[in-house]
Amino acid sequence: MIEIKNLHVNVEEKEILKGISLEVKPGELHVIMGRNGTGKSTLANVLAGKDKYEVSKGSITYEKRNLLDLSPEERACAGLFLSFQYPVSIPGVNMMYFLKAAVNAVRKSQGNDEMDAVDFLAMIREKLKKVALDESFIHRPVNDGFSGGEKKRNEILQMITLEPRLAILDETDSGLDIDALKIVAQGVNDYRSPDRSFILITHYQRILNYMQPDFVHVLMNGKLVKSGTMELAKELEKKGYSWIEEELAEAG
Amino acid sequence: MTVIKTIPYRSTFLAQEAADAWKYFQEAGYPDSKNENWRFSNPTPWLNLYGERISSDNDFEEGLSSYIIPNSIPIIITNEKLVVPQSIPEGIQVININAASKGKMSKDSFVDVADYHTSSFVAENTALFQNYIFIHIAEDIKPEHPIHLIHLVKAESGCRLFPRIHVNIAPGAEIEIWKTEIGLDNASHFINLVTEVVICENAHLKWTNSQEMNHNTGHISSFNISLKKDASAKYNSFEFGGGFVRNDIHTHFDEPNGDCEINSLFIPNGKQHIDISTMVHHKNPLCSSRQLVKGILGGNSTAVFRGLANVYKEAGKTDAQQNNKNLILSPSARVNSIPQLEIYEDDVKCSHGSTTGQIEEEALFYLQSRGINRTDAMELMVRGFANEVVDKVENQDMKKYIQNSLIQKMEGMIQ
Repeated sequence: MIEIKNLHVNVEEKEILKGISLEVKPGELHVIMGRNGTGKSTLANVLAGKDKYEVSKGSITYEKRNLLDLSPEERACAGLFLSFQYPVSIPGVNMMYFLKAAVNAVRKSQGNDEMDAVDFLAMIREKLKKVALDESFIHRPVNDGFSGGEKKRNEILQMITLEPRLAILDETDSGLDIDALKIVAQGVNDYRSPDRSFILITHYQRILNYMQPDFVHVLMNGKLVKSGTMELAKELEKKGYSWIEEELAEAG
Repeated sequence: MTVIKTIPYRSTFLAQEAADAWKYFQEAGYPDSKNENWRFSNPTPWLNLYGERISSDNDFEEGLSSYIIPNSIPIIITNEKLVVPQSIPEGIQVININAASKGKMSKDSFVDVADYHTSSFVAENTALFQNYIFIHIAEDIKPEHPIHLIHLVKAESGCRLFPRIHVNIAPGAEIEIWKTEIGLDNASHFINLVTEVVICENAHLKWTNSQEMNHNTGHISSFNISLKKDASAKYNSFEFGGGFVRNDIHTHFDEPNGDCEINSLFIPNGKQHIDISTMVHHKNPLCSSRQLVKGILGGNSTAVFRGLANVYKEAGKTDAQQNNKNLILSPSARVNSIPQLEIYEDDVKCSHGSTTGQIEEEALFYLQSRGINRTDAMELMVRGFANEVVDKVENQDMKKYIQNSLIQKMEGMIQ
């Protein structure tokens, strides 16, 4: 699905990612854990194509294409999706209009006809149910005045509506109460399938109580320093991150 | 500059007012950039382009029906003159008083809402207008459909027009009025328009204005509202056209407990200059005013927002809000924003704010990351910015009209 090789990324001349390699195969759910400021969001933003991030070394291959050659909208149309840590509010643009524009942009790029208003509404009603939002939601301006939980559920709504093959979830679990967390986790679980992959970036092990990751990686100082399975996440939850630092120091 | 040297013949109808206004105009002259109120809008280069006043009426017969919006009472004004409508619902009176013929109205009916002592252009219009378009809504009348004033302009190049419109809304009446101002040619004109609206006790007005003159037109408009006790006004203006545009919107709370909402969207592009100047006179207690003025600027355009809420002494419990937001789409466009409050009373609630910025990159990236290309994303955001004002138009037929005009105007503004 995606292969990241020795990725180095600078932000304003400062090296944030210092050689990341990661391969995600179809159907897999990878978790990247780490403290604040280790480069988690940088990785998410580089994958989605945000500018101001300079790739100084390395490569990203997405479904046999050089991802770095694609604009953000081309990546989205190619089936890549980023659930933002801090979704931006866009006053004046209503959800309905925005979602319809996004769905049709993706459809058009795949050579499909645009969806008309009636079909779109029927489709979106089903999706809304899955994230426990009522229909009035789509008549509100994008993320404007949304609660923290609504913003994150909105990201999941967009994911299940746009049907990407690779979803990167950047701290989609943070700031959620237990009910919202379950809704978000359920949304992701329902969406999992053998041809869909996930990279879930998180601080806490908490959301993993509701999910079955295939791999867990630890990001520290711009590098993936340790990889394992669910067991690793549980260990991190119990012991924190410092034991890994100690291990690394010992290894020299 | 060709200056008009004499005032045309007036019958007894407002002859003295015309003479007084002419005297004032002769002494004051046109404003230039030395005048604080016109500091960022110098009309002199535009005034130089124009000669004598309009001399002949053009033929407007062709395709008038295409300007009609569904579910409204259309009333056509060609240049300065009213085309007397065939059928008008009961309780609505629409007449054209030719200033040169024997006046049907006594001087007492002339309510002086537009004070020419505050503006040379109003003085000039008061002296020179030849037709007094008078609309009267009778007491407690609440027409089912809005009145649609279709103001069409077509005249030889270089002429000046002085349209004058007076609307009187009797106590208890409720009316919605639309005005679409459309340039039918590409010639240069100078329009000096004065509109006066008197909203009597417990009467209510909603007015939506769409200005779509050609870019060779200088358009100076003075829109004056007088509110009596318990009256309300909602004025929406959309400034799409015109080369040099100034719209003065003056609201007078002449009695207590009035409510006024002013919403304006101006969209200059190319070399257009648009100046929106609002003045709300809180002369009486318990009145509230809300102003929302938004600008979208493209090309080498320039714009000005000057807003003043003036709270007089003894206008207690005043609630005055003013908000200006501008979106700049081009590095060579420029806007000056001057929000002002003058408060001479303690027991008031007043606020004002002004922001000017470009399209937010963060939001653009968000939309792009969902598959929407950059140009479409920008258009979505610009329309979103405009919608805050467009949504103030409650009537769906008129809203659709404004949305279409907006789409046409936005074409080519986003690159």
